[in-house]
Amino acid sequence: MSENSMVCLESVSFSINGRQILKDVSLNIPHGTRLVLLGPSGCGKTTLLRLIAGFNAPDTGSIFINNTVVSQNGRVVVPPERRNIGFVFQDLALWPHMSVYGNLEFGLRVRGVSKSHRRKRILKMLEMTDLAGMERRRPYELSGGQQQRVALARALVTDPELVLMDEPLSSLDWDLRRRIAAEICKLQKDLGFTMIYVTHDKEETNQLATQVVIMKAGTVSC
Amino acid sequence: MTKRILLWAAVSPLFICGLLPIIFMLVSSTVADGEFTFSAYSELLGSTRQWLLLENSLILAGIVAFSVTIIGVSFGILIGKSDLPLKKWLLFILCIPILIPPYIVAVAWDQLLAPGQGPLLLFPQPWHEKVHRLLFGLAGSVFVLSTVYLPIPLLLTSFFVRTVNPRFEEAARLNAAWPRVIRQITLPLIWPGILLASMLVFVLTIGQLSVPSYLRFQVFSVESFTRFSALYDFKGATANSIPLAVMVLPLLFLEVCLAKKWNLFTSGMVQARGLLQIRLGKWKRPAFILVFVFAFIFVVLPLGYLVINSCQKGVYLRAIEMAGEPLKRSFFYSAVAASILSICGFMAAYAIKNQAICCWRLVNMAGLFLFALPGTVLGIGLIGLWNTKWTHFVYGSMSIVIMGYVAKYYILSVKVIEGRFLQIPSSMEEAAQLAGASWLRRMISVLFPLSRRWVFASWLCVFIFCLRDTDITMLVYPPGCDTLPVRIFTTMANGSPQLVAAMCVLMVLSVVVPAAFVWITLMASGRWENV
Repeated sequence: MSENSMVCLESVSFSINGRQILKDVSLNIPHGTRLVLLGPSGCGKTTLLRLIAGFNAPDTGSIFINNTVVSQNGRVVVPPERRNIGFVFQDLALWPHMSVYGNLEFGLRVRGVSKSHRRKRILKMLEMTDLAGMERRRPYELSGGQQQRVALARALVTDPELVLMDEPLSSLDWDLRRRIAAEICKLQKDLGFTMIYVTHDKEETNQLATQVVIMKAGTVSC
Repeated sequence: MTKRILLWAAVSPLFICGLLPIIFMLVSSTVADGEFTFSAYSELLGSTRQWLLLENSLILAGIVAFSVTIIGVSFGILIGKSDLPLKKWLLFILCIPILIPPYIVAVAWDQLLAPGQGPLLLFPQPWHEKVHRLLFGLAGSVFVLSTVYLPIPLLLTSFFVRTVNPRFEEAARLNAAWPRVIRQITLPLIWPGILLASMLVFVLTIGQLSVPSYLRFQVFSVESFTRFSALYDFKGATANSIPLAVMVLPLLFLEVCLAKKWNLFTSGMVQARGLLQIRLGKWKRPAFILVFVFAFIFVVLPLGYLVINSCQKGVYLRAIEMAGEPLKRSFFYSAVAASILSICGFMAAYAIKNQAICCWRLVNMAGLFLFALPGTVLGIGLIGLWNTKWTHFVYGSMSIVIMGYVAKYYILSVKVIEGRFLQIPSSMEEAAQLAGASWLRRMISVLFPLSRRWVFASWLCVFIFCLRDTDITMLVYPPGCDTLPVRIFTTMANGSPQLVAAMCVLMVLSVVVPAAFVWITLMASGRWENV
């Protein structure tokens, strides 16, 4: 593990109901990287993201974020809400009972950000993601591309150091996918966060990655 | 053509056994000597006593609905979502009161708190009478009915929390700890379901007859029953029943309004895989103790005391002698009604899910209305409609009891099976259709095998509810054809407490043993998550 390491996995293994999903995975991701996890369906990409986020703990091995151990040998040491991570889910998981503004505000409010600062930050983020004027709408009133941007804005609004993306563009058409991937690249350069992006699309990989990790049957190769 | 005939045949019992008696009752209450009149209603509205009874009913139902919603939702989240130890068994224990006739819980507390015996001996003598008196009236009725109806919000919440897309909660967990996620994400997503559960408890409490009557708390449903059975005042009883029926209408309105919102919130949730579990950590033991102590005090202690109180020489022999025949009849009536409803429910669930007949919405609403309608109202309606010289073959036989059960519990069967139909993709049936299978064959060869466990579950659910029914049976049973809950209720007036306790224990065992068997089978087969 180097000093510049944002995320580090050491011999991580994970199984569900006796079926091994990850086998002895070790990985080091430096700060500011756009790492793409590429691999076929069912190879353990999403599971790896969930372990980094803290939704599950590895059976064996350790996970470090910013050189601090966050999960180790079946135990979540630092819970998800204290890892300062943004996550864009495959199905976006936008809260349907909240407006766009409410979706973005939730994380800031939990962190105790004042109302005026919240507003400023949300409006800036909406502008950056080309969603200005949409704050009162509900997620289901938006198009697929707009929902995608809201999910991205929600993941970024709390200014996380690490953003995890689980095939976020898989439900969009080819043209929109290319455009949003370009926007993600630009946002990452502007804001400087570290990104782990899961996909099985080689074209997306070429467009986004500064580092590629290939996953196959629960193992990784760089 | 076959499809339409069979579907109509399946929904017709709901109209014949349920809606027709209610319509008849409504009409007959407004006709006197061949003329249209509201005299029965004006007499009702002009009476201060009636308004007082109505107020009592509303206060009782309001307090019970509020208290069980608060406790039921909290426990429902703990049981449905956390890693609470032995949660499946705790859930089963907490659900026992809804499986048995409600007045048995009242009898159990009455015997438990009887002055000069039982746990009251731990307290000074002057307290005994005061504590026992507290049971009779509003406080006691709230206490007993809260125990009885707690399983409704408890079961529904523990089910609903498992339908929330785990991604919604994971997205929030990245920012906040569990209590906040539950408050701001999970509960707002399932509030339509919670509100519906709360409303259901409200209307079921409004219609409750046996508990307020046993605990001598004057409410509207008791008045309606007394007018009919003691004073033989059919018109007065009918007029008295109408406000009870009207109070059920908000539930229907709520169901229609919330269904749209619910669909919106749950769209895509069914496909979401994996449950995000709350790890209680250091709170595991305190949470377990809290739920265990609650279950012990409210369920195990009173029912256990019935067992202790009944353990005297010769009591069970006498109890079996008295309860044997009624118990056999209870099983028989319940099995017949459950079998009819499994077949009708299967067809009606198909009709509702696929909107296959024009009145599918009416079937849904009428079913819910009749379920929530007080049993006394339905009973009075059935008697009014079928007690004629031309239809005495119905009124004087067990058919009238079965009809009451069919009308009241129709929706239970439909909803259980419909829940399964919603999980089966339409393409399953479409593929069979393209292969050339007729509608009947598709039902028999594709849909029934895919949902047979749910059909059995609906059978069992209806069977248990019929077995515990008191309100309808008490009104409509023909001479010599009483069921066990009715026999116990009538024995209470002059039987010894030990004999009543023994009969209550037999009643509890007859319901709890099959339910426990199914519960253990489900747990052993690992199908708990599908429950």
